Amino acid sequence: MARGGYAGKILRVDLTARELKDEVLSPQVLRQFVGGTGIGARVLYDEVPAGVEPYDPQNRLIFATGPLNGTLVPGSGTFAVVTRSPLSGFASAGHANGFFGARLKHAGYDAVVVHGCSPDWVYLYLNDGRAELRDAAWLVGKDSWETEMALREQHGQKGMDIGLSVACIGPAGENRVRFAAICSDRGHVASSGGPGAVMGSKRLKAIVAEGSRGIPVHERDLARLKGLIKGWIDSASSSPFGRAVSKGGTAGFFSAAENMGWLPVRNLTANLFPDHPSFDGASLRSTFKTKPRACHACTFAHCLLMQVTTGPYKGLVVEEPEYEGLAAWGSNVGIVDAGTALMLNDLNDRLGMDLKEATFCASLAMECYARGILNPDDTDGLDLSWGNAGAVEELLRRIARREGLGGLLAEGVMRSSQRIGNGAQELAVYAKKGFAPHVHDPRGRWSILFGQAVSNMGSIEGSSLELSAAPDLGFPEPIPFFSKEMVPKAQARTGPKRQFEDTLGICMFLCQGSLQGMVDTLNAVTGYDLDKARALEVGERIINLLRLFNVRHGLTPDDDSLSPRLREAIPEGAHRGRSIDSVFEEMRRAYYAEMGWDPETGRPLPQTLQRLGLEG
Amino acid sequence: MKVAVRLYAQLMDYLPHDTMGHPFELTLEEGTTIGDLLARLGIPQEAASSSILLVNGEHGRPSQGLKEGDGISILPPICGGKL
Repeated sequence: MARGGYAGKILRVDLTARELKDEVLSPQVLRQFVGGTGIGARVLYDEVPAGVEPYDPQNRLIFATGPLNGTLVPGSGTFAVVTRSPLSGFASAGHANGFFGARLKHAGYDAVVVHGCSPDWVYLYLNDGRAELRDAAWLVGKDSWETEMALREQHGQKGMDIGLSVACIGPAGENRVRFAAICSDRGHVASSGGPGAVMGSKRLKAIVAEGSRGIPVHERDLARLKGLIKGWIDSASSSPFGRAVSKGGTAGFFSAAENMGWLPVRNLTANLFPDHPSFDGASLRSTFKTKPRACHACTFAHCLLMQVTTGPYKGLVVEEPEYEGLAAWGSNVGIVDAGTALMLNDLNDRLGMDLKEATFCASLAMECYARGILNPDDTDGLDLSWGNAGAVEELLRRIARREGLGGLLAEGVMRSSQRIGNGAQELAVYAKKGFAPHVHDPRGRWSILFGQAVSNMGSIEGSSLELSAAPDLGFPEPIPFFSKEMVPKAQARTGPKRQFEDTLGICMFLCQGSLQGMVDTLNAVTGYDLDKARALEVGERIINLLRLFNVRHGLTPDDDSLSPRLREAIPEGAHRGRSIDSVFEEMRRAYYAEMGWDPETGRPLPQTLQRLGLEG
Repeated sequence: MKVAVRLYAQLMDYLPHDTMGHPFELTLEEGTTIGDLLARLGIPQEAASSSILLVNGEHGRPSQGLKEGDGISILPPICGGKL
């Protein structure tokens, strides 16, 4: 039994009955699944049987923290949101950084499990072990930033980041855009799989968390604990990757992405983007004004507020986009002004949408427009030519309102391509479960492409190893590019580690130290006695339980696959002509075998489940 | 021989500012290795040993000899999967 790390209870919220109930999670579940996605997967599997559709009141929406959330371990402000996804009908797990995960713990809860559907719009207020539902009718229609600021003011906090945190939906969630996100701490977003749409279907506009409860810690030798935390901080900030991200943000790799052929350009119809230097972090941070804005206990501080100083949006102050946000609203829609991309990224966050799905919906519509599959009548007069920023802005607003073509695109890339027809299915960029991929041209980075195809959760489960080694996992050097043998193996071995890290409640950018260091810190905080092998087993157990959930909801090997566009050859650039198509099925079989799954069906074998304690 | 060098992220500091995002052409003596190139660029040993070295898009080693027309990219490791 854990002797530290946990708040000690979760909150059950039945919105239909308007009942709130504290509950204690069994020590065995905590030990087997630790926290975050793990707790979410366990609850989802146990409580969402076949026949409970994503918008069914009985679907669960689970906000879960980990045992290190809210401690002094750096970056311990994250939280996971797990649900049955309205995009795929399978499981989804999204994470957001910021402060909310820490404040949920400080408010007295390890997790909040929501079911039912409220007759009226409400928000959930958590404060020092107490919970209540309050009227949210006055918040309906407000975007995510307006909602957060209104609730902060309502609860006596002005400004940003101090005192309490809000996780909320914007108009997209209210209108059940299938890829609506949950936004917290102004600019931190849990989006994969559309959990905001499930939140909207339950008429839950927001959760406010505040409190002053400490996190119990097992380790009595505080000098040892401080040493472990200092080691964690040092390893994160001294790692070459850490230094790179701290200096230039993830945008610091924008030019590298372009040069190496994995930047998405105009819905993957091209691969070169000559304007890339002005989008690179080094340029952005020297051209635009910045102000550091670190998350909870973060010593890394790669997040910034950024003020646009040139171009049509001069003066605009936004959260600095990650690399993916710049790719989404720059190269992928043909926009060449970085300030405009900042504006669109901010707008998308405010409307409350997953940027992966939003950009590949917009770029699908733009490619259809360029090819004459959609015409001005279909777009209600919007000129969706590549690079038309005003049209993209208006399109995003229409998606959030489900208006005209926006209503069609609000269904996500896969469904909207099917409804547009006339060959649109061949152009659409999605993994077959129904999720748009991370914002790359993943055809140029097979670990991302393959990882997206076989993931159970919307985002990717493992790590890419072409550009980093993983000695802990038996990869002392980066793996070769485009290796049909190594990519499935790396995916199978990195998945458990990545999923273990996500149980802890720590930002992935801070998880740059050794696995042993993370395990030692977890043990010191909780009193567990995990070793590295058992830590990896936690991650593997989560992946397998999510797979069992997906099999229950109809998963077949064809769902572990890619849309036609993602199997096409790259048209130009560094990897011109490269395609995964001819080796994909072979790689998938190899991955299934490596995971201990049936190579033909992708279902976990009985001995695998037995080893992981998931039998029966 | 002439080669084209691209440095990324914090390693850009070792190239002239106006080359940002673009290849920087260098003339090297025959027999120059990647390790020699790293030294010539002034990249400290610690940063060099942890960097990803690519020659014409494939992984390279410090002892590897360069040849006319090679494109060399040097960048910090990129971890995770979302970047």
